[in-house]
Amino acid sequence: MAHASQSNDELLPLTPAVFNILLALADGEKHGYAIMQEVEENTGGLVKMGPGTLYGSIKRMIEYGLIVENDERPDPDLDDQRRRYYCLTAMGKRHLHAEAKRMLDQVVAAQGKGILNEPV
Amino acid sequence: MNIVKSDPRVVYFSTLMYRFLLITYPKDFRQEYSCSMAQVFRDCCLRAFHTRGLLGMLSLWSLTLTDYIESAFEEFTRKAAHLNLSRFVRLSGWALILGTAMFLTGVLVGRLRSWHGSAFDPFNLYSRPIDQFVEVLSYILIPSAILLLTIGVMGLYLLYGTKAGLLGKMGLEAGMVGGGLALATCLGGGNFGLTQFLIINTIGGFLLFDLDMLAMFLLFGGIFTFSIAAIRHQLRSSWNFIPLIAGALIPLRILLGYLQEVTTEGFARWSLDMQMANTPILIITSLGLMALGYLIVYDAPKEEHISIGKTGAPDTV
Repeated sequence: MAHASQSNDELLPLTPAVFNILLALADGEKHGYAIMQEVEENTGGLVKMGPGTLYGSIKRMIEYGLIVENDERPDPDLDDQRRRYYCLTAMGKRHLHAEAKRMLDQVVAAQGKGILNEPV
Repeated sequence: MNIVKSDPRVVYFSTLMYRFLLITYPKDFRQEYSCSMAQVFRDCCLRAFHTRGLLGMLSLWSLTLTDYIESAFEEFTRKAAHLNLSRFVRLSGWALILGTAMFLTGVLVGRLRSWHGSAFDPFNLYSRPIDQFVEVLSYILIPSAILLLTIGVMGLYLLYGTKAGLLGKMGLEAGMVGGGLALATCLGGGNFGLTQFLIINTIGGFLLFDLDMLAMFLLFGGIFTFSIAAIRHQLRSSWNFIPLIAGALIPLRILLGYLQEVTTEGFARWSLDMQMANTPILIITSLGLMALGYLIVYDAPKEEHISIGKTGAPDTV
């Protein structure tokens, strides 16, 4: 019943929290607070995750093999050694790519219907 | 650990209160993430306090309380679902073992019955006193056994369904449908399908399109289909052939039985051989089913493993 072998399609569409965490980790490993800040920045403050949602999502993403915790701790002079760093797995990258493409397809479909050209 | 006395007082007490709230999360989640959560919350407090002062702290607390209620509820729901699921899978293994034993008993006891018609027929001169007892026992044993076998197939589906691929999944789904159909025909006063087939081996035309035969074919054929997927995908590190033993022979027997019915005269000798094969088929299938039940019990996620979070969460992230 391990989930790590699930194909892309079985986990798509991703929840906004999971997609945003994957996106935050796309350019390298980060700790929880840095992920939270990046998600807030990326979404213009629209998505604000509390610690419960953040670590609940992280727990499940580790279970599904989308991310892993990096055992190597940064230089103690540069950062707090107690912080836990997470990074994307190959599967996580594939899911991020698949979800981004799925969203892009929807945007293209919306464009095709001229929705983005209409003044709101 | 995450509470620093040099922090502004409001941040210090907020972090302290948040740590108290964390106590209410499920134990395994709390052990794994409470320190990190408290640390993140403290970072948020410091930022909120330094940028927006007390108003920022109030805003942060309103977001945090909503997040706390939602996430604690979700963690508890997932944990409860996981516990129930792992318990159900383990019990389904025992159900398969018990169901097989009952099925075997039902069939063997049924062989004690006179072959001269229903024991409840008062005008049947050939019926013996034991026939009535045997018939009543069969009425109880066979439907119960089929119910337990179906639960066993459900356990297989939950345990290996995801890893078994489309073919394996479809096989197990067919098995569950077959089990449900067999149960419905039994309770609906059917012919006890396979039991009667194995005991009497009637060569009557009514068996040709018998619903309970179809049900049994689906049930065991589903296990057979799953066995192909189990071998192909190597679902376990060993013993992947066990579902094949449990599921291959009965569908084959049913198919050959129908073939025999269609061309009885040409297969007279074969028919006799097949009747002789019924008992070995039943015993081999039963051994396979019991071994399969044991594998389910053995492979079922253990409750103590939940803390490392490897199994059983609902299929959403």
